[in-house]
Amino acid sequence: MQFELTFQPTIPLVTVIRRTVTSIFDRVLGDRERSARLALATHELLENVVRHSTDGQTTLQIHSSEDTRGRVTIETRNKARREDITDLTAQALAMATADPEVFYLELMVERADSADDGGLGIARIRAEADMLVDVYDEGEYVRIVASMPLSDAA
Amino acid sequence: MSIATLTQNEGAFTTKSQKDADVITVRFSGEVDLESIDALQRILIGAHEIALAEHAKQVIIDLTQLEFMNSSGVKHFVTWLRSASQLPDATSYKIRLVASKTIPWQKRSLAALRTFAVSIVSIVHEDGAEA
Repeated sequence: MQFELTFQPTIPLVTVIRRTVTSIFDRVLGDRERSARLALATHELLENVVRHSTDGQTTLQIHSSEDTRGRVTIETRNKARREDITDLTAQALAMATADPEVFYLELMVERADSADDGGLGIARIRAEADMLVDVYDEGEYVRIVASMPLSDAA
Repeated sequence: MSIATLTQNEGAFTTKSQKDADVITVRFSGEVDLESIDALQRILIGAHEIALAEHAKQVIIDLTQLEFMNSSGVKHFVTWLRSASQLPDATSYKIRLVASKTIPWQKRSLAALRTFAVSIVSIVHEDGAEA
């Protein structure tokens, strides 16, 4: 299955897409807990776009097939400010070598007193949705890929 | 600030509140996203201030009708739980989070949140069983 959407996400649209992803994967996987994890990741990635996209536009891609080695991937790609791309790639790099839950809890503490509401999204995807998260610096674009096995056996 | 200020009915995130003796209960419905994040912050700060002003012994947040909460909402819960956990015994209150068994995200999110205030936070399901 491949799903691709190029659009300007708004807050209400993020919810619509999260619910759609939930419905699709409830049927495809027959696993409500796993589809909820995918929905959480989709929501966090799209809110990230709403916050940081410099032109409001993104491409959302969802793949799940044998071509992706039995994994489902959710990907957003959008223009962003250089400092936001640098922050995201640095966070992904730090997260890659850390215990996901410890990293998430430490980041929660760090963010708790911040006036900025953002900054927890990809760590939450890693820790709560139990998905791998890769962030790619593509010049004026940032591409974020979250992935997980289609089943426990995959 | 009165208990009525913890009831709000705007957009996709709604709350209902009540106070019985020294227990404040706030029921959340809908979802917390970027649009409703300010409302969530107001409700949590308000619950904390009312609990202190009225010497409440417990604040119950019923999440059984909360379909989704984004990471900004998680952040505001952390801020509140850390504040509540640092109160001196004389003004301290307990927090009970009521979770739904059928809304999958709540299990991991609430378990993570509880780590910030283990001594004052309990998590139960709607049937009263410990989550």
